[in-house]
Amino acid sequence: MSAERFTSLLESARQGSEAAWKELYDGLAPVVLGYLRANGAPDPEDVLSEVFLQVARDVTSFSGDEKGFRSWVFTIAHHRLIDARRHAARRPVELAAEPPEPVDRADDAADEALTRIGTEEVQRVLEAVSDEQRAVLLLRVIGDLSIEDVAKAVGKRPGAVKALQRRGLAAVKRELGRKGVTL
Amino acid sequence: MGDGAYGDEMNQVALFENALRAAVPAQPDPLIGRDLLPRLAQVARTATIEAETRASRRGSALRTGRAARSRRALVARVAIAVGLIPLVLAGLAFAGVTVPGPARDAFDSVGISLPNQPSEHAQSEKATSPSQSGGNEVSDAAKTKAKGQGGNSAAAHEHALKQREKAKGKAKGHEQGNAIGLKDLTPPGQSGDTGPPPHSNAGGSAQSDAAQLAPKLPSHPFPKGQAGGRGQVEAPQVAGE
Repeated sequence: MSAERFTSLLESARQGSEAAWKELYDGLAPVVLGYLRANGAPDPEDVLSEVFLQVARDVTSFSGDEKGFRSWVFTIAHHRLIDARRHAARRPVELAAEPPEPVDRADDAADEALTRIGTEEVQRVLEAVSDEQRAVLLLRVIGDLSIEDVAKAVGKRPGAVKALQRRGLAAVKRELGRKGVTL
Repeated sequence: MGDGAYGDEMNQVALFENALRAAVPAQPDPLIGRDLLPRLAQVARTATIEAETRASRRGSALRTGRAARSRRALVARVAIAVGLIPLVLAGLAFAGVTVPGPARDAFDSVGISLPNQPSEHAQSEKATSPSQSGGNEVSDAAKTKAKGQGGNSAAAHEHALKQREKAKGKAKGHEQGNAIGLKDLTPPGQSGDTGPPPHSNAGGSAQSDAAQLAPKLPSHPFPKGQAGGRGQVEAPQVAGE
């Protein structure tokens, strides 16, 4: 999307255009939802709704390009994820997380099964790393955020984020080597 | 070999990242989007209107607040400047500088005496001070003294008359010679006045005054034989001088 196109889309969204919000939502909701699910959010779709409602409330204060907007949305998602975790920790009964629904990427059943197997393996590897390392890896890979943006989102220094990323990738490599995962 | 192993690891990680990108994104429930999008549009519209209202309100508040702040700042500056004036004057006085009289008077009026100031000020201060006790005391003393003299005045007066009689013979020529035109004047001591005669300091210069006063004065109090002849003889000499 060009810069002008994104600027006009954002302005339309500020003015309350539902079409503009649909375009923004369709572009970001899948990755944000995947991020929330991969991080073990208690109710990922509920948290996703909260994330986009906050984006709508604060969109007047945002200024920047498309990449900045994506980074901003992921920062909000990370904060809402932490809130949801705290809220879930206070709950007496923990709800079981729904199984993830992969994005429709395959046309036939074989490719879909392959994607599902891959998804399960990926989730298993992700469970082997710590919460902080997982958050950093997902924000870097899924959110496509820079080190500095990830540092802002998780509230750490860039050096600490780099260290978390390095240790997370080392854990991923160990896990992949141990289980003989072939991707 | 190491590079090969490192390359394999990196390929593995890259493959994992690709799998992560493919596996993690999940399509949300379409029902959520259908319910959520109108709300998002409504919330954004409301937020924009509120932000605009807030911005305009903040702008007006900022203007009024700025004006009030500038007024307060001006008043504060003036107050500080006025408050500093006495401090500066006191500092100058402590440093040995003679401050102007009005400033010293202002300090005196509040009971503060500035150091290192000239003594003239202290004297004038005594003279002009509101207490005026010094002046009253002096006048009282003078009155008391006068009264005391008044108590001894009979004896003193007699003594003074004797002295005058004694001195008359000795200093007649001198007295008459200098006091040209004063022959008609009442000598001190006979007039009844306790104070000095008005021309007591006249000396030589009293001639003119005495000359002027002579015709106005009353008749001669002295016996005629004493001063009359000499006065007539010596008067032209003095006039010639």
